[in-house]
Amino acid sequence: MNRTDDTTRRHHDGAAPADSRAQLSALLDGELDAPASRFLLRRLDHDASLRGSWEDWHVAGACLRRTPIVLLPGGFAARVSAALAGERTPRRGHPALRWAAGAAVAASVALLALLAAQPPEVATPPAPEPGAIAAAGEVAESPLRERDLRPDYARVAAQPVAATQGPQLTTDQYGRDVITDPRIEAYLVRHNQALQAQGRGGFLPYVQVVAQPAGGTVRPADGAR
Amino acid sequence: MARGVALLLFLLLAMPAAADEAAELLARMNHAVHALDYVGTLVYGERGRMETLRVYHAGGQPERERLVSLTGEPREVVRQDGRVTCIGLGGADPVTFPAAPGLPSLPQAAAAASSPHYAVSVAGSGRIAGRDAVEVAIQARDAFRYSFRAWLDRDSGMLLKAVRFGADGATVDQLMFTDIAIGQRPDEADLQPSGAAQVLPSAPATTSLAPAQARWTVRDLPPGFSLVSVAAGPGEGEEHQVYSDGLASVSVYVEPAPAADPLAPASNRGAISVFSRRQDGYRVVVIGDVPERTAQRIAHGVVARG
Repeated sequence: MNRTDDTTRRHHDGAAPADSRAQLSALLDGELDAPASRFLLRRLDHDASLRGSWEDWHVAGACLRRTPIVLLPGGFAARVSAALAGERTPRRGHPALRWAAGAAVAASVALLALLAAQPPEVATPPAPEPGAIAAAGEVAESPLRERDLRPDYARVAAQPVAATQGPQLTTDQYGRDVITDPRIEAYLVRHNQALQAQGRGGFLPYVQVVAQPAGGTVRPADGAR
Repeated sequence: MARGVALLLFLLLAMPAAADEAAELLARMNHAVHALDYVGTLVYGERGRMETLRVYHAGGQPERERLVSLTGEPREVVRQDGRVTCIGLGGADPVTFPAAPGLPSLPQAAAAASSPHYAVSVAGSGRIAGRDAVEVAIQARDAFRYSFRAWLDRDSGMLLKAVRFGADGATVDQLMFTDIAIGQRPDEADLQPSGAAQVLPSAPATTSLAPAQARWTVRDLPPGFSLVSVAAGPGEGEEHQVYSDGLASVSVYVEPAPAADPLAPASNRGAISVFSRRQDGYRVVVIGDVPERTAQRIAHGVVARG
């Protein structure tokens, strides 16, 4: 870990306790033994502050090193812990819910079409060969291997979400009411696909794609609560 | 008196010229965001929430780009080789699917310059990310659509800042580059996705219809909106219509639905409004980048064609 990355860590120390941050730093530097790593990774799944520090350091460090970023999806720590323990990580969630998550992604990315200047090519590209687009992230020496940190590329179910799945009211990370309804995401997907096909657009959706909070959530509109 | 008349004449002559200049600036911006190389950091804000993103863009053909979130959950979108790869969005698995052409640009905004429902003008100047900028206003003439302000780099025409407003003048969302290197070609590594992904399943098929074949119509549409497409499916008895005022677009879905299958009646997501209601055993869903009242009015105007 070079001086630049150390500086980055100091600027992204967040609210995690100092001893935890020290352990996290040791983990990033590959100086934490396997048992301690497992313990810390389990904590990461339940400690948002610590997880935030990990993500900030990792992303910022990778940006500063100008290397691709290995992204850490939800539940990554559990998967890494399982990898360390030599166990197979159970795939959580109903297939329909996984599709819903996929639909959320599609909805977000379909927003790209909002600013499409012309109708797109509609041909579906071939599926990439396994490992054809190998993750190229750089990870400091650690008990973990880079492959342990990659997202789980299990296939998304190809069927639409069950029609009986209704809206759910939750709270987002900013403490605001949030409605999660996969069907709304599906409508948004189709809406943007239609716009894409017609070359119609809106305003700056590409940024919205990445800037949207995770979960594909929709907040209740004013007066709708 | 003579001075007053002269001033009035000056204003009358100057206004069209200002609109032409604004339209020209928007057209120049459209070209710049696609054709230029640039690397920068931008901040996106939406109703109390703020995210910071890193932008890598290689202009020309093929146009390539990569956006990486620097705050919150790691998220990334990469467009290259005719495909878009998304990683970390919605907490879902990484996916790749056919690309939509286009980067953050305002092709429709340029079209708004000739729309009677928007007034486009040069609003002033400013300084964004250390660069001199020209401010262009796209002002909606009623409350059925959003207004915009865009700050464009005086030298290159590149979009540096944009703000979307509601009818009450409140900001709906905005973005701004905090630093940008225009003309800097991104490194190859910065344009590559950070992980593998898989192809997203295709959406169910629909069948395009002529407007006369539509089973449903919308009475009392908000001014300026008109039907631009109709499709049947994917399910039996389902119909999807798209309405647009040239800049904003709205989808109307009418589908058979049992009463015990409710959808959240109204919601929004940034500038996207959703409104749904039941009608004669059908569910009407309206969704688009319009204010909530517009979505509501369209939803309540849906009737079966006589």
